Amino acid sequence: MERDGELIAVLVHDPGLGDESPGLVEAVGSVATLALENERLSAQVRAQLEEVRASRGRIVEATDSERKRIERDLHDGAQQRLLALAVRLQTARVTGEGAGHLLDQATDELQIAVTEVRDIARGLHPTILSELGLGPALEALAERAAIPVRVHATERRYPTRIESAAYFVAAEALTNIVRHAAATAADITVTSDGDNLVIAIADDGAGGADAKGSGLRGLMDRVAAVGGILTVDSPLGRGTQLTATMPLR
Amino acid sequence: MTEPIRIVLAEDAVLFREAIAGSLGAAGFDVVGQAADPDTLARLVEAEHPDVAIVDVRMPPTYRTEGLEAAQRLRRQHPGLGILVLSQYLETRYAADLLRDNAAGIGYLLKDRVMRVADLADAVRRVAAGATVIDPELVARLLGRPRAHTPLDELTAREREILGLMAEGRSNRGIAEHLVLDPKTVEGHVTQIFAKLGLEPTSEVHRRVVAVITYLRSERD
Repeated sequence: MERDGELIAVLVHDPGLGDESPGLVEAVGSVATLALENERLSAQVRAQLEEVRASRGRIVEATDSERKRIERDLHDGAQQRLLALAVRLQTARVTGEGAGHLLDQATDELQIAVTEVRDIARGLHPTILSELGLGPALEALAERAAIPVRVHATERRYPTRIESAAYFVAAEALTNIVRHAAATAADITVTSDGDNLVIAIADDGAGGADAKGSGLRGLMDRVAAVGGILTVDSPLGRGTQLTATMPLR
Repeated sequence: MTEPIRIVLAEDAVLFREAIAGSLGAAGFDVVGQAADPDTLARLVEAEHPDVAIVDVRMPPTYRTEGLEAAQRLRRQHPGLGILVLSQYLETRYAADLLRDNAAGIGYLLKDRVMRVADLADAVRRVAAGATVIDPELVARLLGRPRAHTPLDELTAREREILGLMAEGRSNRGIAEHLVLDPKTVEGHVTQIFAKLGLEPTSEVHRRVVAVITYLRSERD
């Protein structure tokens, strides 16, 4: 039995059967083909469902660990600093330490705390992304990168969830590049044919990125969540290119 | 004694606004009005004719960049008004947008600068006098941005330092004072820098800021 010209099953029967009732074998064959096709389709659906469940689980996990990281950053940073400052100010009240010096010190500490809180807030969502869109936000991201990054993007606006996903992919990709790729430069390119937005992040680093690694897995989930796909091209020694293709509708 | 500089302050966070108003008052400025939204700001500027408006980027109704747009509108309606924009985040794109039409009397500073009264007072005075003031952190980011080979590599450490001060809006005299150099020496450096970067020399400080910022932003190795 065949489907689309491909052999999918063999019906084994008594050779006499074909002679006695000519239509029977054919009828059994077509019913079996239908049953097989049904089974194949439902296996496919089961596998997709399994993947959706798994990615949903990973997204929840990623969200949890991200929240823990933010909690830790706030706790170890600004919170400690502010608390220590309050204690210091109260101690000074008791000991009558010189006010001028103390106030300068307090201002320095507060300045650092403010910077820490700002960096956390900007990491959660850069204002420029919602305000001016993907292109300008990517330019701002590139400006802060540790290696030269060229951005090829217009000022065109896309649906918010797509802009967010694309920005997230670019930001994560740049973090990975700086951390692992030993690259000297990177390019971010955004294109659109009206139906899809395609964002590609390419570097000239070591290549050999592990598509099964948790970092790329997370990006694939993020892109899949908006109905897109992420491909990884990372030949050893010839750089890495991540390409996310996301439907605009 | 000269008249104190008159300021209108627009910021929607009351706590923060009152604090700045207090500190500006203590520094000898006259805060003649406070606004929590762009419309009130516009009315106050009409009514009070201040020397300087200090405007927060993020204001109602959407808390995005209303303040920035309000600043640009005020700019068109009151060309003589000094405008100091304060922002929680520094984006070079916003600086470029603000400076585009006419950079004289425009400032763009990180909100944190208000913590140092002397820095804030200096910025207000410069903006009131028609100078351009760009936050040093933004300039440092632009200058420090990693690049492949660029004409910036040709600059000496001193020239780089002076380029940064130019981008912050300092005049040659200001740079000379800051670095404790002879103004003639600074002039020489400035000429060198413009030649090395292939920039059209300009004596007007605010035009120079725009030229340098544009150069640093557009420079893509």
